[in-house]
Amino acid sequence: MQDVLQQVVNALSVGGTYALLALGLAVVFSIMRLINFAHGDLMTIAGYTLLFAVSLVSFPLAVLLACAVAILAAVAIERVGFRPVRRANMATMLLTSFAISVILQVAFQNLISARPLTFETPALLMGTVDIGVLVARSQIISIIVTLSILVALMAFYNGTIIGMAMRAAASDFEVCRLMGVRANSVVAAAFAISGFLAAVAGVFWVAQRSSVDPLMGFLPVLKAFIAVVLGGVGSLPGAVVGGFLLGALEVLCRALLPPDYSAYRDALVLALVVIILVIRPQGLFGQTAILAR
Amino acid sequence: MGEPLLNVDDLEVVYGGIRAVRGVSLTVSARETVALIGPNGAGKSSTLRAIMGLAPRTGGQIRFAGKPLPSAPEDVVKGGLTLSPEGRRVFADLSVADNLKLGGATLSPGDRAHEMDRALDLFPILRDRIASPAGVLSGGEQQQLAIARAIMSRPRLLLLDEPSLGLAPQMTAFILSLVAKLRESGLGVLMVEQNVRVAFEYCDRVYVMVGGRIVRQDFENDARDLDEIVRAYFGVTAA
Repeated sequence: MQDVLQQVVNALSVGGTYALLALGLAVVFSIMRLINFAHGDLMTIAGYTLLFAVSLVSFPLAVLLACAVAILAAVAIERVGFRPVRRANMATMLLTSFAISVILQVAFQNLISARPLTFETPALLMGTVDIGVLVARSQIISIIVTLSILVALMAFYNGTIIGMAMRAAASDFEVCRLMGVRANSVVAAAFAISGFLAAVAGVFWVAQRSSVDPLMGFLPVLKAFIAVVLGGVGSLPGAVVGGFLLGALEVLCRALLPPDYSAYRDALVLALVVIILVIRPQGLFGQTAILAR
Repeated sequence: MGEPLLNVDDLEVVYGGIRAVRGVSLTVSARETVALIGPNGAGKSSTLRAIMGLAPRTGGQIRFAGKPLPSAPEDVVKGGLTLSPEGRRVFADLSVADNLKLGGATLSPGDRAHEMDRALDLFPILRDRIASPAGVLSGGEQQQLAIARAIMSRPRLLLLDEPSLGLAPQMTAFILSLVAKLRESGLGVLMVEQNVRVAFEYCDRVYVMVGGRIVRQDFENDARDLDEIVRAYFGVTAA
């Protein structure tokens, strides 16, 4: 029983990070029809900001700073990189996102360091909490923060005009403009939210791995992309469910696979994802037509 | 009659090398309902879209309330124009209430609540469906929602693109009688309509548009000869 509880905590913790990242991808995709592969580099930006800021200010303040810098970076990337190609087709925008990602990674390598920098986990995230089973405090904090953010985002999307406009723009951008809502505001808000979500995920990622490197965003954003596809491209609830499901599958494989086979964990998880997509090609919450638009 | 509310002068619209609108001039005054009729591809919807800033205005001038009309849709709406688009295009996943709130996105929260009450008084069926997703409403209800959403921004001129499309005649009559009420409160209305009878029954003036140009206008109330117009109208389309 204790083992099960431990694995549930692990699944919620890992899945929560994927869910935040997947949601960040989905928020932008729902409005722009763009899978932003530079999303992982926003994580990296948050990671470096945290690493440098934590030596100057308290950890909570450093986290806030990391979020602020990632939000600004996301909005700047939209303004400089994506706005000029906003009316272009999906392939052009996808290539633009790869280009931005590569430019940022090379910049990190040349301006900061090509090697991983060590991050000293702050005392706040160390230690364990007894919830019937001893679990890492960092995991509990990440679960609470993730769930709080998801609830706050739901309130934002349902309770504010800009949130409603973002939902409306996801289904009909042109008519959304006819409501007097500025297209640029909606797109900028989507990128700001995605930057914030990437930053929070980046903080968890760095805190758990105790290092920051120029390519650290690549793997998690790839996983987040898988979560988005699993949940259904274009669906925000789908991205969240896809993230948690992917996390649960990973934790399940880690717990059940014999140690000799642990190298096949990712392959097994992806095989399970493929099986789900064969049964339901549009993903769990997706609409079949969305990629055809 | 004083200066018209909307004054479109020699409007040109070119999409991808095709001249969809060729030198269209028209006016609409406050408390006036004007129809723009014509066959498919005549450029009627392009004219409305260009007025709203959704299609590029490649020539001519548009003045609204004596001033040049801005080119961005957001500014056009803030200036006092609004469009209920062809095919309703309500936000299907959003509730009726959220659709209406978005219609009043440019207003303060207090004004938005006031306008929502007014819109729901005019379209009471929407009050009963207030929490339903707009996508589950019937065609007639969606058309009412589209118009209610459009008037949430406190416009002075309402543009209606094909309000009768896909609706039963009784529902069309009901909706246009509500539009007539709006006109009595001071609103100007410019309506694109394929149904010639509807246009003549509900509008003060009618422009006939063919091939991107206005080919006839100035039909007076007492001199309307619907048969003649229908003959001319279909005669042109057949040619």
